[in-house]
Amino acid sequence: MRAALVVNRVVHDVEANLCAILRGIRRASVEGADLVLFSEAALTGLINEDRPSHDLPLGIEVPGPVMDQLAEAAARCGIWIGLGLLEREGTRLYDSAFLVGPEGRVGLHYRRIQPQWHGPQADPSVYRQGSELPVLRTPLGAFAFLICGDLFDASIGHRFRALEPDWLLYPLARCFSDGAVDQQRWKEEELPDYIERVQRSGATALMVNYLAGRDLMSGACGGAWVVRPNGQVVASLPLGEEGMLLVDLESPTL
Amino acid sequence: MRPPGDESGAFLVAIDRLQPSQLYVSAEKLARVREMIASSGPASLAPLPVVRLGKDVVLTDGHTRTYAAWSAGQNSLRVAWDRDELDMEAYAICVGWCTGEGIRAISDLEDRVVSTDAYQRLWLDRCAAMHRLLATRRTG
Repeated sequence: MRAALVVNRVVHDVEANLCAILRGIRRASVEGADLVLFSEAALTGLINEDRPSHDLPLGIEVPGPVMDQLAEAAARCGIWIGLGLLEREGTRLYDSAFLVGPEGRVGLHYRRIQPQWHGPQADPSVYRQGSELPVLRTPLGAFAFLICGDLFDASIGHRFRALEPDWLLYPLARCFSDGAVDQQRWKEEELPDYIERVQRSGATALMVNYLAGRDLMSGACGGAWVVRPNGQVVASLPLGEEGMLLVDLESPTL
Repeated sequence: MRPPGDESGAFLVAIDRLQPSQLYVSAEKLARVREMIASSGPASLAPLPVVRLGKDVVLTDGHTRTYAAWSAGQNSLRVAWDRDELDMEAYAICVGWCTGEGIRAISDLEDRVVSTDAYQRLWLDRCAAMHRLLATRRTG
């Protein structure tokens, strides 16, 4: 499987972010990728403020025009598309991830289970979590999502491992509290924790963070990594860089 | 020579000059696009991406938006040259399908607005099959 992990700079203009995602899909396809993966909340950034009047409009409805364009792009380019999106269902908001197949159908729909994508005081009737951990078995192997903080929740991690997926699709949204883009600090203080959690998951993790300035909430520092279940970092894109990490990975024997 | 266009590279073109690269339009998608245009106005539409393929100016995306504009009586649209690297072989195949079935303008899709299921089967699945074939051929 050739995977393309795309780190986009997310800005306030949602239409511009969607165009960047569509460009990333096309570029990944031209590069021969079977799968392209984007970050958590790739269309808007994780900029929810626990105010429904502000946050609900950030969510996309599925089905809806955004998913239509992604499905069309998947079919046009013959590629799997994985990405995180804030999802609105009526007056409920979820931190979700979708895997759209090359036939233009949503194959995986995951809603983040761990709740720390919003504040503890956020209205629980609006800010919702999922409970399901779906796995999609494909010719490329079995895929499952976790989103950001899910990976650090022991019970979610345990459930994930029991499902034995081959690939962990892991969109995230991370920044340092001081807004730094500090590769050394990341490598020494943060990445080892992620690697340890990936090892516990038992799957090869494809991890993508978006890039954003501090004008977009606290910003996000970017970066993409492919981590084997033995803890080996197979490939990475450094923090602070927009771009595409292309990596050829051996698919499991089916 | 610089291609025509404003600062963003967008320019107006007669809708009937645009060669589709898609055989069908989804009725459900069309309804959603019409709803979006009704709430935000036609000016909210981003310029549609086009490429030149031989003598044709080919739509690479936005067929539903183009159809919605045409069916609402618009006769021109803002487009912009698609500067992304594209799989032109795949687009050439799609355009070949269209011209082979007599689709030379968006108005030729008038009888091809189909249900979601039909769109999936007739168009998206056909694209996917083409990509599988291309991938097999390219990897030898």
